[in-house]
Amino acid sequence: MSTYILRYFPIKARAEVARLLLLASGDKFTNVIPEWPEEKDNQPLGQLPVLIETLEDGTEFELSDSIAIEKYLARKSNLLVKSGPMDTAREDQLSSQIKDVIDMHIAHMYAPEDSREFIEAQYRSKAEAFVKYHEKILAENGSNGHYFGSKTTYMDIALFAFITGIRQPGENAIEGCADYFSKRNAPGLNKVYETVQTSSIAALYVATLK
Amino acid sequence: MSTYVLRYFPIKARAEVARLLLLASGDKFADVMPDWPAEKENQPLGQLPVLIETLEDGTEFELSDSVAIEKYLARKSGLLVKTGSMDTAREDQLRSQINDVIDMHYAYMFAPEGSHEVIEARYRSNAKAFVKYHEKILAENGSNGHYFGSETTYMDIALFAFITVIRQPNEKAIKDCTDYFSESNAPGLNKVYETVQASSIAAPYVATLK
Repeated sequence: MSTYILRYFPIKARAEVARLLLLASGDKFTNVIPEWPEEKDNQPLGQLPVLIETLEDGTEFELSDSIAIEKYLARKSNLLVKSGPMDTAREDQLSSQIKDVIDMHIAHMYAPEDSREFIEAQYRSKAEAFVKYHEKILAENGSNGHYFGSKTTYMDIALFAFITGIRQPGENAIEGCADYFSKRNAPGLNKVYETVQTSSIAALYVATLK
Repeated sequence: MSTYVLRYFPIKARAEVARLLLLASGDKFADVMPDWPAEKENQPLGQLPVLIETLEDGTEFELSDSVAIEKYLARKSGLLVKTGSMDTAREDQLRSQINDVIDMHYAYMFAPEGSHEVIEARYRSNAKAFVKYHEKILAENGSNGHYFGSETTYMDIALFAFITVIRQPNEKAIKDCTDYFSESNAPGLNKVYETVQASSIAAPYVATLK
């Protein structure tokens, strides 16, 4: 059995899916908050999150990039779609689209004052397009609280983590950034959110949110 | 046999890997340049590139997001790594890191003047870290012109396309943006570039560059 370290800041931003999956797996893991910026140069590409897996034989596997980490853990827990290359491609597309929106949300919070207007415009444009397209996709799958089939898969979890994060905006977040994803504006997305929130997979993670 | 339409602008930016893979596959495909912005609303999330596959039975599969498209085509051609989940995770990570660099390159060219300084700083920081980390990875694989094993895989092709794109002179680009990737600064990356450039997989695509 492997054990894990997840290095990230103590914020809910790019590591929530990984945290949820690690908790669900039952594997031993620790959240480690590196000294920052002192330890920046010690991270692959000076970025977080980083996952370090220590295998049974003692060897280590160090992985960076939040989506690579998420998919690695999701694959281990059998949560990536298994219905063929078109669905896998769609899964890649949809998870990338979440990142496009999150990137603008995070960029706005850390950008200098005079960049914010431009970033805000991009966020709003991406969020609107995201909701329109994802609501359509979810309706095509039967509005059943799942992106694929009738069981919770990685993409459902990624959406749940995204909504959880965007509803806790930090300082300098775009005003009303979560409104695009309200129950009224995005009923399908909210059904996915609620389905994951009450699922056994997410139970241990949801308990940490209280 | 499926046929394909690749919708994108007539520029070398986010669709080069897809073009290379489609040319290599021998499948019939057409480059289509939509009227822009007239057709923006008709694209999933109002973005390009978009791949439309028409299957033998006449049904269509429409896919967006450049990396999702690339991996879909690479999987069809047997070019994704097949050496286990850690290498697949590494492949995801490395490809994502190309986007961390290229996104800043594009952002600089399209952002308002006031954002230039901060974007340039991010570009330079990401490019330096990218070269340092990737040179290390390539040395660990034997400095043989490949990211994985001893044959050309998707990640080699993605790197080749990235270097090809970034070396296009553009007066709006960050000054000396390509220096990080020169032969003297990045010998390993250049070996991958040259190996793909001379490969049979890339031959039909390379012929279009002349």
